[in-house]
Amino acid sequence: MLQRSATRWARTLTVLGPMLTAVLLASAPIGAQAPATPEPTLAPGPGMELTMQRCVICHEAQHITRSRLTRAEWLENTELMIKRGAPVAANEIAPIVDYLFAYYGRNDDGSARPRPAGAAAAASTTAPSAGGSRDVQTVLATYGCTGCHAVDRKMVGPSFKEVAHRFGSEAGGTERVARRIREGGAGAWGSIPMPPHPAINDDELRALVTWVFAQR
Amino acid sequence: MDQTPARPGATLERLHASRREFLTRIAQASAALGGSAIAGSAVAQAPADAGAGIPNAAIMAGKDSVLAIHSERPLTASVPAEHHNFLVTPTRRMFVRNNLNTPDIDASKHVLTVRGLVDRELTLTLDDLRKMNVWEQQAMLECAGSGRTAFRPTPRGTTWSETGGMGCPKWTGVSLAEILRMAGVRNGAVHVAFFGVDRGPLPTIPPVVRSIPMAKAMERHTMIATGMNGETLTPVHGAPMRSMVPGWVGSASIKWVTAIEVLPAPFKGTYMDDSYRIPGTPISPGDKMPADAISTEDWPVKSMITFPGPNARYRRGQVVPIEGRAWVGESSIRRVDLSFDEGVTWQRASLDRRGDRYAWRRFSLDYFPEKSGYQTVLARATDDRGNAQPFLPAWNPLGYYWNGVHRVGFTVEA
Repeated sequence: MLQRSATRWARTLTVLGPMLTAVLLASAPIGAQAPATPEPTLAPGPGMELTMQRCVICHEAQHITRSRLTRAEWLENTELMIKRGAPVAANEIAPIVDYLFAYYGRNDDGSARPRPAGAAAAASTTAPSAGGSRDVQTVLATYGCTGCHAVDRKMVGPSFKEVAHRFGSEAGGTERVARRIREGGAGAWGSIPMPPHPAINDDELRALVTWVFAQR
Repeated sequence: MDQTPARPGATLERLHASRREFLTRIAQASAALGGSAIAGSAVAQAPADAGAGIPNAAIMAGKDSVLAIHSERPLTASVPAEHHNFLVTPTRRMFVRNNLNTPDIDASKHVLTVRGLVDRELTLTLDDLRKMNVWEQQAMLECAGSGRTAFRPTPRGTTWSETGGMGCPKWTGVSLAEILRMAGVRNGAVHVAFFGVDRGPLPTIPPVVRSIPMAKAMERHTMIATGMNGETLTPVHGAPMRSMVPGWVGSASIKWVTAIEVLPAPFKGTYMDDSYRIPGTPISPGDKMPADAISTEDWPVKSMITFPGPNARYRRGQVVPIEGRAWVGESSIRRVDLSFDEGVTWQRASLDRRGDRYAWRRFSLDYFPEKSGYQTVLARATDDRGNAQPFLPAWNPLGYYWNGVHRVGFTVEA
């Protein structure tokens, strides 16, 4: 998905030429590059953010949403992914498997398991330590930002401070970071890709980028 | 089986040239932005960042729209039977099964190392391979999990549809045996491992390595392929070179191969020990992998109906021209039978002459329906060892070797 929009964007650059592109960049509103078919995210519930953070660097969420596995199979699969390099700590296995089995499980006899009721209300339990409005905390938690980014140290991705320093005072920096959050990408900070977050809406995106740039 | 010479790798070099041009334009565009840091999602996909690899969109641009994407990370895609009615699978319809990212390799700098239990370590370039005995064969390549979603319960893994995780293109390359003889295989050699250069998004992700037994490695059809269907290999199919282990599960054939290692035992690694394994003795559906698990190797006998597609409509009195393909890993097809009454009675289809050793065979039968309404055709192949396709293959935890009888429905209007 992110690659498709990247190619479209590349074509725009190539076809319209540098000058027109500069105009487009400066005037493009946040959300102008929204993909036509957004990647689904996981069902909200306890453990959703952690599961998203640990899995979506390498796999889109459909790998999970299309599956119905027993608890033993989810555990086995999680352990296999750790052998294949997934950044999952020992104490994170249980909450991830609990979440996967609760929302994408099947019973040992092959029958389907009903989804937990009222799960959405239980979502968003993690919050960043550096404050910010409740809205931004919710956004950070919902989209799993803090799984890969911290305020002032590099984790899987760059710290929010680094992002703010690099792009915060640059013309078009807001649009650039917003686009990267929504569409994902790789290369600006290394080869590890930033997963796309196509479900994020314009208001959430604006609040998030404003908060990130305030971390300078 | 022609001894055709390799064709110059014009396609690949063209591709690199166009990517260079693309990058130059991006750089010019960025300069126009006032010398600010190069950013934006276009640059994020630049090949300068080798870890991210070639974007899926660029790969899919070279594929037909009927190629269904099963996953984007990693990229997996295939074409179901009804869109696969070709004698030779076109490159545009060849299935894709990546484990990691598609690497963007400069073919002129790529080196294949041959090491391990050999008298002489070799480092071979694409040009070196082209000076060897390059030949062409049509041969099956099928993912071990092809058809997985037909199992109940559905095992985890790539959601391959009942048909499609396979193809039978023509491969150009050099017999692995020729390379191994050049290196001189030493006593005690048991397996030969292939190492791919593809990498994932995190440095903790292990590379893709699989090994095959010496006998299969030395069998002349096992090759290091550099071309497909008369063209240079495309990047997603392993350019500039890959192993091609015909008739065996696809994971034996490692794309973007950069090293061949002759080993005194099977390779130990996650792609050998945790995947591509089946129970040594059948287990109850849903049970865990038992301790006696064995590695998947050659495909059991299998077939698919490529024409008509699902739910075609015919008029009474009109002929229904049934057509399909049958194949098996290490035997040959003896017969294909069709049933129009859900397997109660069977009639023999005609089988085209056998082609290359590991190529599929076309079967056909002109069916004249005697009644109107919805009906079905079932295809069941039998190999020379007497093995026939089951209706439901043995369930296994990772969903490999699906070779159940294929069934297609059609309607005859009164």
